[in-house]
Amino acid sequence: MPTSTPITHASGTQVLAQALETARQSGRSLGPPDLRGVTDLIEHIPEDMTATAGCGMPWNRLQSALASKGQWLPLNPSVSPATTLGDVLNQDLFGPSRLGYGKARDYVLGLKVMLANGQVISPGGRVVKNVAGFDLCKLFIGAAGSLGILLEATVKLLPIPEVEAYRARVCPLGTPLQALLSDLQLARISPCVLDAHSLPGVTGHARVVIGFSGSRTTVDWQTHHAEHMGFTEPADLSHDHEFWAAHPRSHVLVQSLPTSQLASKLAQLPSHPWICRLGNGLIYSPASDAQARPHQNSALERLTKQLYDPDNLLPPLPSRL
Amino acid sequence: MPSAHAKRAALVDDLKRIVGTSHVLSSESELRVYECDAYTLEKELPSIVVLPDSTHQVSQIIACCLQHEVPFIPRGAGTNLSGAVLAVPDAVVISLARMNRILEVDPTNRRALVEAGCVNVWVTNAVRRYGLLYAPDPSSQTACTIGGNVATNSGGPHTLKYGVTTNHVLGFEMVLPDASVVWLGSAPSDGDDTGGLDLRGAVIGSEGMFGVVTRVLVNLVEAPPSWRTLLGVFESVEQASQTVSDIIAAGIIPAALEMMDQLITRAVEAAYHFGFPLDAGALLIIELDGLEAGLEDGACVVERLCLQNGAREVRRARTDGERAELWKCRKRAFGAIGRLSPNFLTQDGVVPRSKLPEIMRFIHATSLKFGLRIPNVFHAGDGNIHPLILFDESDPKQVKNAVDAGNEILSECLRLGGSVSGEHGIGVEKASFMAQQFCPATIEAMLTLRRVFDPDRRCNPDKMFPTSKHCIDFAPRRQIPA
Repeated sequence: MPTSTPITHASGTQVLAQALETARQSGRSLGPPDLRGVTDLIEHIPEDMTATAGCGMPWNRLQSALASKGQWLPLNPSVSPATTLGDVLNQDLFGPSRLGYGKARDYVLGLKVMLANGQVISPGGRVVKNVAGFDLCKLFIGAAGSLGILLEATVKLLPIPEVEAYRARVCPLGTPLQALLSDLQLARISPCVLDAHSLPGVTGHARVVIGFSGSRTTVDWQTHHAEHMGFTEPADLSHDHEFWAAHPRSHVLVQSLPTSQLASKLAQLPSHPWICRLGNGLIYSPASDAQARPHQNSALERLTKQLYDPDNLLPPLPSRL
Repeated sequence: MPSAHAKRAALVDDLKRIVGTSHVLSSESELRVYECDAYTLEKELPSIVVLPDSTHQVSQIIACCLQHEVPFIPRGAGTNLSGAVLAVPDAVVISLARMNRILEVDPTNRRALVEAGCVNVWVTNAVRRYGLLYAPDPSSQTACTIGGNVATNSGGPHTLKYGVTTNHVLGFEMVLPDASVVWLGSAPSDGDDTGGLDLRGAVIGSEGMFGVVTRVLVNLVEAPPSWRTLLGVFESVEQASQTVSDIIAAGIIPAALEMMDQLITRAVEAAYHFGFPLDAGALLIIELDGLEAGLEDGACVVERLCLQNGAREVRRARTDGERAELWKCRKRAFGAIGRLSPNFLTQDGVVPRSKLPEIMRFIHATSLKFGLRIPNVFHAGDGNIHPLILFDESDPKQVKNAVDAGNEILSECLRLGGSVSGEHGIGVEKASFMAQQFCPATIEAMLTLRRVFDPDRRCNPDKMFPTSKHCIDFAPRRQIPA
């Protein structure tokens, strides 16, 4: 079983390639790569709504820099100050805005990746539409670093919305929640956030958080509509921050199901804590030891890993749900 | 040692046993229909065309091809514009035309399960009554298939806001080149997230080189309740391009932002009589959609920006009918070219949006350099250009000039930081450009991915990457009128 070799000195890509070779020769895996040399916002072109940044750049600093020109990379995972762009892409992190804005794969235009053999590749490009060659970027996003070390990413951006507004209400689980979800679908409003979360000391009920973003006119109209549906409590996304602050991702069980099955599934959960992306069919709850064990990958996934990292220098494949 | 003729006859017999006699095409007159796709500059008669009706038959056909040691090529409607389904010697073309059913519609979960041969627009037609639609809308959508869309990661005019095929395909069933059947991504009973590697995403856009997609689970979106469709009439492409930049800078993301220059406008007007002004330098179609609240504000900003940039007038589609008519003119623009020229070469390149004026100037200079007219109709919001290089195939010099002009435009796209394909794919047409756009290590990494699925290169070989056939100067053997 190869043991990890943490790299503690700052390194350019040549040194990183050398570290890979050293690891290979000593029969060990690489360990967490030092990306302190790739922490800059390399390019931000507001008129193209694209930016290129080093994957070692802290996520919050990246979003601040983009915000200075009125733009953002529309993902809002709850992260620590140490979380980097590379972490977000490697782990495919997203937050409540997944409903309205999608995931990392919808925004990454190009990557610079160091493979296990030390070669640096540049799949994708810098333009928002690109079908030249195979879409290797999709392979690396969410791959937990198992196929290559992400060095740089070029991403598509959106304008920061003029206004955001959140409202909440409490709803009994089971049929009432199902009915609320059906009513929301029929209402033809377009929330960018639709989450539910458990309440401490309360069984059989959830707090549902709805969010809207866009122009003031659009947001006001939708918020007003939501208030008529019982969403009268002013809200924010603290339910999400609090959950992830208390539960490291490695110990969270993720369940993904068709959204039509959510209401009945939530009614069966232990009472607290859990959070749920109602609009995307995702339930997050603390994992038992048995649940925390990774699920087996498919034969094609294992073959992909074998071809890109035959010496197992890089982390293992991400687990299937 | 059996002759090539006998070997082919044996293969035909085996295939007939799988799909039935009437679904195996082997005579020259039958095969002629399949000698090319919409990239008509090159042709190759397939050895055999077979039309299966089920995933099981597709698997049996591939096993049969393995046994007979012949390559195979999946084919949808044959609308591809880069020769991605051009036959190769001895190839069996597997047409998905009979596998065109919509299997399930799940409006609550906003999904539909369709066979790969299902025509793109049929999906939207089937779900419209639920207030839903399938967002990727290539101009060929009344003919192209979902499987074909998966192969080329198809786009269309509304990708600016809604994304491309990869953003709307949750998962699919595929028969691998070893004849086994896998499901990549989400199956109908799964949630949207499956974890593990995104092999689904890696296969989308692989131009039919990793296997034969048989069933696709697509994501549906709510049909926008309201829209504003505007037509800006400009004196020049520069003014229209600046307007595109200004709209984006204002924080507005239109559902679509399409540009047509004077040449194409004249052809389209002669064909469809929409009322386009024939002396305008450029037209901009801008569509905003979404909730009614706020839409008028956005439309007013767009109107103001058009006028600020010198628009002669800004018209609005007043009814659903007018809007549909406007889009018909845009989506059938390629079809109107026949009025201008006996032949044309459709190009597909991308530049960063901010470089649009520069590439348009370059296209104009290229047109003068080679003495060929080059109308332009394209997705201005994405920077995805479609210069249409007009030529007459009866003049070999024009043919060579057309190809050279296209190549120079693509090289300029790369120099400006773009890509040689935004939608149509590499196919055979642009295989020689892969080494210009990507470094050798990146190409090697792509070939590694291919080895995951098709180590023996049996599935749609000789595409995308330079081979001895396509890496040198191209001299087309035959052409037909577009």
